[in-house]
Amino acid sequence: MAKYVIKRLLILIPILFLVSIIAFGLVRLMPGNAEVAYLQAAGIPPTEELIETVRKDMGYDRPLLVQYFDWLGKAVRLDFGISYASKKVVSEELFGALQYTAKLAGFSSLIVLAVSIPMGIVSAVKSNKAPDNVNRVVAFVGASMPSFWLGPLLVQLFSLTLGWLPVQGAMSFRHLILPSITMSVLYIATYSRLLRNSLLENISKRFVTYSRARGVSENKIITNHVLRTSMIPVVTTFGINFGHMIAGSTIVEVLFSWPGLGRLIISSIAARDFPMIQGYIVLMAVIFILVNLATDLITVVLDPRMREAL
Amino acid sequence: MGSKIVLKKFFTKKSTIVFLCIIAAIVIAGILAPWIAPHDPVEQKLENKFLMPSWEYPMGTDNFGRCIFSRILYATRKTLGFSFLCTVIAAAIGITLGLIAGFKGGIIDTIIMRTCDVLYAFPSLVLVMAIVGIFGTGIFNVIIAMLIMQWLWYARVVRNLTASEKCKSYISAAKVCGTKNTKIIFSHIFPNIIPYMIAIFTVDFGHTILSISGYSFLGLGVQPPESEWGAMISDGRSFINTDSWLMFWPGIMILITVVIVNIIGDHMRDALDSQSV
Repeated sequence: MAKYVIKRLLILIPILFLVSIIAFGLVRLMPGNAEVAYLQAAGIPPTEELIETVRKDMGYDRPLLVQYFDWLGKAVRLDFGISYASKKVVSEELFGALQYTAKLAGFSSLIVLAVSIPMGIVSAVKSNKAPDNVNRVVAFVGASMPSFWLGPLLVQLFSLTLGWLPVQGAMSFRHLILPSITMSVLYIATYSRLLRNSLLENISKRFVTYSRARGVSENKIITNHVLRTSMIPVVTTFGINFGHMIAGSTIVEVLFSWPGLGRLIISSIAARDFPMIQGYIVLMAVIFILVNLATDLITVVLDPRMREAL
Repeated sequence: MGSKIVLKKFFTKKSTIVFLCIIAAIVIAGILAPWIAPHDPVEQKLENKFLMPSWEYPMGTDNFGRCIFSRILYATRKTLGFSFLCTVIAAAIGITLGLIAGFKGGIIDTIIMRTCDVLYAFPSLVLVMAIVGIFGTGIFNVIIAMLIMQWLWYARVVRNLTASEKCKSYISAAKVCGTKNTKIIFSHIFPNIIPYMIAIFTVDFGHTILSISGYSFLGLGVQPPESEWGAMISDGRSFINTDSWLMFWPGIMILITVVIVNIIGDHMRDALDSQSV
């Protein structure tokens, strides 16, 4: 196990190296070069001399490799430079926005787990009876609901008609409720069905029959044996999706004017704010890699059969 | 194995037939759009704007006086056609690579899964933004960017299932008997992961419809004046207070289509489950 963890941590080094090359290279490939973008972001019409001056000032006239290592050396210390658009320090802006996105994704995850785990267990235990059918309908509708449609509908009901919750913004906890609900509906639907299907898959396995024959109580079979095995696909998918939740909050953030990473990156791309885009890509990469690592480790802990496959 | 029995069970369920007919009707309506649409989907008649639904305009008209029903019909081709194309390609790539990685293990597994890790490091939305930023907005660039991310789903789950399936004793027994690897993969491991794959494929097709319309909603995919369900919601959102049906119709179309896709997948799953018990 320890060996596996060390192996996974060592692999992180080349991954991060590759991510940095891609982050650096992708942005270099963008149309409209950095000097022009820098001037346009500052509101100065780009002329030949100005472009030349900026190129010298920013060090864009140096060989690409030198620029890359210079950028990398700073990136390791979380220094992604100064934003072209806002003239603020990129890492400070990113971490400021990350707090909001993490708040949104975290609160949504809590809602998702709190609703979908009991939902999945109940509909597996009472499969094809009333609770399962209710869950089925809720899940189908939830998984099929476009968030960019649900969000406006919720706003119309809870904000405009009933006046219970604010339309948009991020001033208080009450502002967090509608965006989180909008975001969690899809995931609640996915996980409750995934867990239910996975539970049913395992309930029909032989070890359950044996446990019953040995006189183990039904509750104990479900919690100790079936649930543990059944959580594997759920954990794998949850891990995959948590990163996507942080990145995929863009639509919700745009809908509710939530000052998170999604809104920041959309405005940065529109403004061709290269340092911000690079910082965003690296930050997201680190978050995704850590989440995936945690997912794999938890999968191994949950499923001893996987250890042999390592 | 028993796939014929499973398919028979699937197709003899009455509600499945009903749902398949509904989805077929939506697809056919999309294909026949040029012949059955009552109006030109992009023709603007400003004197007709914000008309309520009537015999002339079954779903009313939008802020440019365009027939919403005709626009919905044309949008069906875009949304469903592009989503299906995208999902099928992603599934084919992902399942193949996942089986190879899980079964072979070792260096091939490491390469495929590390590729996944690196690609995971690029949230699909960022990758779509980057590719659309470099090559310009448009649905084909969005699909290519989505494909780069989408097969990972299948590969990862198939790999984990295959790896834990591979350690079971019947596989060892088959190996001892000298069964070829390809035969083990296709006749022993593959049937066991099919229920998961169908569950994932349907969820994923639903996701893809939602993503493609989502990107069009953000203005990155299908471009105006062409109609697409997500783009139509975006157009209608400005009028939510006064003329909310503008965004009601495309939203309800997405919802109905994706619900039915998910139900069909669930029925297929039930059929497979009853077979394996």
